[in-house]
Amino acid sequence: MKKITLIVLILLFSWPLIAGTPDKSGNSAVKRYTLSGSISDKNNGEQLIGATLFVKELKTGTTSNVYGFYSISLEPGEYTFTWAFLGYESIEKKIKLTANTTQNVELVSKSQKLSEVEIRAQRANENVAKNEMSTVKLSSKTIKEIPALMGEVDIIKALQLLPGVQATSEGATGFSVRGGAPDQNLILLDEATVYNASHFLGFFSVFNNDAIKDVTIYKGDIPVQFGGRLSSVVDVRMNDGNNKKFVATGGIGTISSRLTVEGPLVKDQTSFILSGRRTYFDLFLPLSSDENIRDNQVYFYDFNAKISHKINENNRIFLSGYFGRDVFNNDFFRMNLGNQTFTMRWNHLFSQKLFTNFTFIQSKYDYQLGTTPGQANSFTWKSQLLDYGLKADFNYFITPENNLKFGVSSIYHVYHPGRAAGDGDNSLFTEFIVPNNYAFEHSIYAGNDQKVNNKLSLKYGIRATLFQNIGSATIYNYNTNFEAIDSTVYKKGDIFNHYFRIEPRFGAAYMFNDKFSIKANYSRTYQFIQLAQNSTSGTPLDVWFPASPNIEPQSADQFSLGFFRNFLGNTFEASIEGYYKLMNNTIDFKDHAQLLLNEKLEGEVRVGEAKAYGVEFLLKKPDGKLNGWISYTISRSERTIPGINDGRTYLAPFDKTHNASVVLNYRISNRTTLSANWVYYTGNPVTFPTGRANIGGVIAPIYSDRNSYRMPDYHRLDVSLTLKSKEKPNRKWSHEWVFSVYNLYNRHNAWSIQFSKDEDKPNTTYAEKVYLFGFLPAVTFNFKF
Amino acid sequence: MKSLKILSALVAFILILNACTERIDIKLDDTYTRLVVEGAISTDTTRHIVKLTKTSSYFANEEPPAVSGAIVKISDGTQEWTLTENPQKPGVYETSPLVYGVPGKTYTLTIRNVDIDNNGQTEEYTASSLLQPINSIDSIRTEYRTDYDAWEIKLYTYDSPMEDHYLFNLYKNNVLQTDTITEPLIVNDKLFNGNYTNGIGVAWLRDEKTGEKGNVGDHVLLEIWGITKDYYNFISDIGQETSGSNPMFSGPPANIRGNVNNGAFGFFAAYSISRASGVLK
Repeated sequence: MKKITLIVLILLFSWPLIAGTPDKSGNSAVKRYTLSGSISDKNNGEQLIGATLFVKELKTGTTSNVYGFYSISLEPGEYTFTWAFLGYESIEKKIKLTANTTQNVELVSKSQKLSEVEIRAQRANENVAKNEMSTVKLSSKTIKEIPALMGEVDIIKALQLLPGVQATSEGATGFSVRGGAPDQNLILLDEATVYNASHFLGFFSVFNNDAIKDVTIYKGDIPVQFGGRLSSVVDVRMNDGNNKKFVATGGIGTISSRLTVEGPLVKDQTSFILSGRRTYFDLFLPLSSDENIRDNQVYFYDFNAKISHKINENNRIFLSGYFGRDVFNNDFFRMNLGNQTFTMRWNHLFSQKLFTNFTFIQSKYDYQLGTTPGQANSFTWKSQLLDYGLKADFNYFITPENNLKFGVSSIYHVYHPGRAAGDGDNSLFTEFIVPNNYAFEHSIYAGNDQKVNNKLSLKYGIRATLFQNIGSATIYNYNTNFEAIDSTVYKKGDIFNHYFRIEPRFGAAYMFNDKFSIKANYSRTYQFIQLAQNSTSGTPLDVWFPASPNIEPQSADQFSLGFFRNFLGNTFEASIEGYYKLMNNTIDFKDHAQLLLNEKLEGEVRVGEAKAYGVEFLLKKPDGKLNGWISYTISRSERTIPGINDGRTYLAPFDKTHNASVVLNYRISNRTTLSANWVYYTGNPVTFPTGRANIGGVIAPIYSDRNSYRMPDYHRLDVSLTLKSKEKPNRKWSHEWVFSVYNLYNRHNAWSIQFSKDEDKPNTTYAEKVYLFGFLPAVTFNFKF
Repeated sequence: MKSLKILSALVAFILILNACTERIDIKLDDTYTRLVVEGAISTDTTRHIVKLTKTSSYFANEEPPAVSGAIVKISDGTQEWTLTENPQKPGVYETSPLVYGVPGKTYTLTIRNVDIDNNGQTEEYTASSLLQPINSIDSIRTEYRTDYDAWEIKLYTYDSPMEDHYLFNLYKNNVLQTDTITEPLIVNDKLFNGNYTNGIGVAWLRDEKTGEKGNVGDHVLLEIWGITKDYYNFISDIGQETSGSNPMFSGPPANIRGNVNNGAFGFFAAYSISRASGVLK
């Protein structure tokens, strides 16, 4: 049965390949020739993702893929081509297309040159014209301009300023997309999953902006090549490394220092980039007068490295990796944790129309904690999760009207949820191991982007995933009270359970005119692994657990509809998007759930349904002296899960009715930029006490329904001022000072609200808020040579 | 597991660097009134006490209202004792001083003749608890820990091969130090089942706490209670729900799990007690 399904699928997927090829079908007798190549930055050779090629005579075009590759097949003739990319001078060229032609293009960044009159590229109405919605791309340059907490430029915090993306709590890098949970975001760094994208208990993200090219977030309309998470995909791409000249960039910040070196190993052929970062505020701890602080060791560091090598026009390879670690040590306690990713990729052109990428991926997240050895209570605790993945992605540029993507992937998951044991002979603890989990996630997909005519574009695709639980494994069987009654042990290599799921994706865009379009989208997503976590902002102690005989995969159906309109010659981009998302097999955890070191974790899980809907408004001015955006979201997200809140519907922990942000950058002069961002959102839903009982000398709370109160509304203004050094033609050295202030008007936003008993008056209780960051200035010095 | 507490200490550390607190006014709704039961029977031969009060609104800021005139009984299936209300302490019901519990027996508390919801009809509440056996303590030792700034009471005994839950009370010069329900250490033996305890620290006299500081020559008495898993959960829940929460390590607040039926709040516990004493040196 399984085999038949597979054969049917393969046939299904290969059909558009055959049917869509005009050369082979009788109707398209006219021979087409292909113009293809790469689009890169002239200055550093970085491939440009999403750069456009426009054919003036045909009023059609294409965009470069994530490897900077483009391809367009046209009937023979002479055409005027324009290659363009936001923030770059476009290039126009007449080419007589009489044979397959390779044209590699290098664009010049216009960031250095400030022209009063903005000349917008031909295809600047891309956000209106492109059959893509619920998607935002930010370049590392844009991200850098946003004022940051303690001056640490942060990709994830930048994403949180977009409509529909919300921070889980103050200063946290965890985020919720369109009402989903933080573990429903697939975060990829050069295609490798980053399981815990945070440093320092979530206050900083693992991404070092100096090593990053750009980031794209898909909040819906998730492209068919991605799967495995319900809510969003965050696709972070690392720089390839400058293949023209050696460059060092770095910075000395308030809490960390960075250094990036990049350059050609073989000019225009092989390049590398190596980027490192380390915090150093722990160096100041010994100066503290408080003994409890003095004896601590707290720091994090990370490295990004990448080598790109162009073998020839048809073959390129990339090796990239990330390694990061957080360390916390003191007299009693030791902890260290971190992510590690490794990606090996091979770009291959089978023909000028068929672009292929083969990838090997390894991702790892692990943590270890323990106490000082040699005591009766000494212990260590380790946990690790590891993924190995293989992928093949094909991009077939059939005609300018049809762009087919298809591919396969396989991921092998290995989870070691936890092993705790005594440390030293004196320790009384015996070894305790939560059984490992092993699983395969195989996917196959195909999707076509089709321009039906100048007004209508369609996009349709399908993704199928086979998820397999593999032994060795111990699976507990639960009764209706979620108590484990017995367990089944499976041998090593046994495939004892599987789920086969099909995800259709569909999108359409209709252009009323050059400036105005409507887009609609439907996507289904499945999620086979999830995080055992019930705190709002997330801890480093992640326990991921797979779907199993007890837990079915989660699913989401999302419908979106949007209007896109540009104003004043594409100076302003505006959009309104509505979404409605229905989720099944949504998980939450019972009251007082025990999530760590629990071999019967599945007994703590409750399963039900969730629903999220909202409208997102975005007004953007992408460039110019004054640039930035204003976003506003009104939304609701709720769950109905038997066994939680007595089965009554409750608000999801990340439901924020109103969420607004304003991001503005103003270039006062060529050397001075003033930036500001302001955020506002409705307080998170919380559970408060509505009664109390005196028992055993304490006052115990009796709670309201789950999440029936709200935290106070949150708002905050951050500003920064960047002063650049003078550009001199023959000087390589340049630098800039960034002065920033987080929370300029010093609002005491509540991070948590505590209810406590007054120590002096035994029958008196009071509420108290904890706030984290008041007015917080920072200085960063950046350099480049 | 202690690690979570340690992690909370880590959060606390970050909070030292950054966070501040501020009292705020919050308007809270009221909920209906529930009966609050705090009762126990142990292996000691003594007056066993059941205390009955009522819940109040969260910011009530006054003594909890006592529940008087109830008919309170404890039974072990064959024998039944009726408790009498202490005339000096309304809401406090006591057995005769000759009653003691026997390990392995299940004790049931029955409360009648109370009308908490004020509807003119009385309600009946019951709660049962198995009295867990416990191994006797081999010995205790004391050591001054400079890293904690506290005297540590070290326990030497065997854990039984069964699933056990323990509570440790500490007396200094015959005065109970762990005098609220959240102060004694409670542990389950998941990670050391059947092992020798090797002198693990189970109670502390902290220098910084008023009245608690230990001096050489002080007499200490360690009480170890064998409690049920449900009672362990009850105390652990109270600890969690009264120690403050933060978005990082706390799950959503959740009501404390008791063992009294009919919607009452609280616990009727049964436990065995083992003791060992020593002198600080």
